[in-house]
Amino acid sequence: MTTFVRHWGELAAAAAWVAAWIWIALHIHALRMRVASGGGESLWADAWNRLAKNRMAIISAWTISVIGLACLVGPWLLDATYGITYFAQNLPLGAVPPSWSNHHWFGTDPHGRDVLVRVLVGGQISIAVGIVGGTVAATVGTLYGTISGYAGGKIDEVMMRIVEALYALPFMLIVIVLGAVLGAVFEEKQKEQDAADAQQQAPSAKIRRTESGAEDAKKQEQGAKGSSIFILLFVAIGLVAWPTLARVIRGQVLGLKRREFVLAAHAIGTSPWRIIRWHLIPNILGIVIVYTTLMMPSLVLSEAFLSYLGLGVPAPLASWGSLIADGATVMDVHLWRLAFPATIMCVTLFAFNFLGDGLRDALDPKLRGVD
Amino acid sequence: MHILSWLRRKCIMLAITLVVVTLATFAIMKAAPGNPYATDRKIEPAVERAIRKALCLDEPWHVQYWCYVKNMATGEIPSMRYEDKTPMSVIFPSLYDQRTGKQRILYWEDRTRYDGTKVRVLKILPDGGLFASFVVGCGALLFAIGVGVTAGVFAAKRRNSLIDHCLMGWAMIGITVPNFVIGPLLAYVVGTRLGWLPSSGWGELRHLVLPIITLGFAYAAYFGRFSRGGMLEVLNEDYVRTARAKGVPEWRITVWHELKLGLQPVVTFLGPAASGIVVGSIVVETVFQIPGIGRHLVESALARDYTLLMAMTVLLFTLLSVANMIVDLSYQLIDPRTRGKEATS
Repeated sequence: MTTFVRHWGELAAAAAWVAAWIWIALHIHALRMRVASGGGESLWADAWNRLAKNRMAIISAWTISVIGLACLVGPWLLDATYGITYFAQNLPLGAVPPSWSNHHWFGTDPHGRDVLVRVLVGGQISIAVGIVGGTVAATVGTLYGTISGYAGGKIDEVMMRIVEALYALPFMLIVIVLGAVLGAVFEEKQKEQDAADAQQQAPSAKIRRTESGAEDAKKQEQGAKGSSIFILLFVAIGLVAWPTLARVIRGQVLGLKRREFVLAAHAIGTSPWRIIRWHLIPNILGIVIVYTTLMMPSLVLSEAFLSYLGLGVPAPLASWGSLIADGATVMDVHLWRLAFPATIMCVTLFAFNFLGDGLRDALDPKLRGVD
Repeated sequence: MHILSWLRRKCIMLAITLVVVTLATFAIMKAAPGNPYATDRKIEPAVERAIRKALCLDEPWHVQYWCYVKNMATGEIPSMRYEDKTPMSVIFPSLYDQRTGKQRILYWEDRTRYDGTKVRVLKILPDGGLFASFVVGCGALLFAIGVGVTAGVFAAKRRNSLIDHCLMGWAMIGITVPNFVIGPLLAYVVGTRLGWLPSSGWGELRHLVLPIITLGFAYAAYFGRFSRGGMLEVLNEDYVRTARAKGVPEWRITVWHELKLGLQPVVTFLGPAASGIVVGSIVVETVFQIPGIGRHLVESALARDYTLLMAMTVLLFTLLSVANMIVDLSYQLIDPRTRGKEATS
């Protein structure tokens, strides 16, 4: 066992995550049972009941959580057991097809890097884009839509014209331009860093492991720096996605603000901000969740699109888009390099779509009570 | 509201949008690291001075911006990477081409194949740039509307039947599977394995088929879903039932009575679809090696050729804004109830 496991720390971290996931899953299961048997009356219990009845949505939720967990702990497990990392090259094992015997279950690329671990690391990035971009889009869209809808009149008019202009124009192009510029910034920093390294002539002090050497440690540093810049890109992708949400939210708020409880709050002198914060936003939270879930696939796709064009994550890192781009050029000889990333990405996107549809059916007030 | 005042307001909106877009691209360009001419190769001082003057690089920023807009409007801003090219010569290559003779957009050509047999092929003007992108983009939009609306109407008419579930399942696939997966797969299966159509290239009409399908597939799926939803809403309206009670034939009810209102979500989605197709064409032109604007856009982005990149971005924005305005205007003219209101809200 001591020879099998190389890095106990990473294994422990992975085990902790798996344990946490099982704990959460069990609790949600228990909650589902309780709500399903008790037949709750509140909005959320009602929605939960509907969702639990939708088999596609439940399967999708499980799929997403399993893929997410695999992306999170998979790279650690593979490193801890077989010493497989997403950047370490092994040229004699280049471009071998998938096989059970050599631990490369998804095959390798021409540099001998394992495709499975690259797909998992790519999944980390794609899911990070989903979370960061989704949060940005949900926050901006909700605030914008609520303010526009609640303010009404001229302000509403101007704000909605802006959204329309954003909606029908390809702001992805601006993100492409931004990607090009950010790439240039990254390269510039790289050059400075290299120059500084060359001046020092001393090996970097941050060598993590003796056997893999300075090369790997440096690559990891580069990856970290690259991702810090590309967080900006994720935010940009999120900023492209918010107008849809803003329009939907505004429509909801227009309906809500004429309801008695809002009028009552207004009548007793509650400030507009308090009304928005405590009376409007809690009531549109369901819609926000639905549309953020439905937005996830397009966010993941945007990142994959940028990476496919070579404007996404920098080279040692991988993302689903860049893996598909690499695989598409060699699909007649190395089919596995296209098939695995494309399949996993499409399965994830399907799951998000089905879950979003299920959530919409469960939470959309238009459908409530229709069943 | 009178249609003219609506038009005037739209024009003002258009102008504001364009100013914002040019300002944004200009700001991003200014934020790019290094000065544009700090390349690996030394430039002669006289050349650099001339370029700096052309771009007004020694002036304050607002003069630079004005210079930039002026250069953009004439298209004569020099490219940073390709020394002999300007955005104009990339967007309209034939204007700068030395070929003589009449240029035809569509024509037959006799060709001798390698085994000596003669075939006639339908050729398309081999011009790249905006022309190629326009042909592919419009083709994809027409394909998406045609296939999507037909499928959506069928699905709505036979609601909850097997055909409905099959069509909507396909629509889900179309929405989920990205075009950079569909494109290479089509090129490989139809182009290489089956050999039915060329998998890449430009110049014949056959070259258009796969790119148009790839580009239009996702939007066909969206149009299918929207038209199904729209049709379902009007399917049980009173006026449809009246028509049916009168004994109007079913196809006539569908075409005349239901489509008119049922297609409203489709018209609303035209603007976003057009903009999505512009973005998607970037991938499709790269996959199928079409010398359109999209491919130049990616190449200039990868080569950090900011001037070319910005010029094409602004051009695409302008074209789409004008197209959106025309769609809105036609919407207003067709449907009197929306007159004075926004089509998309």
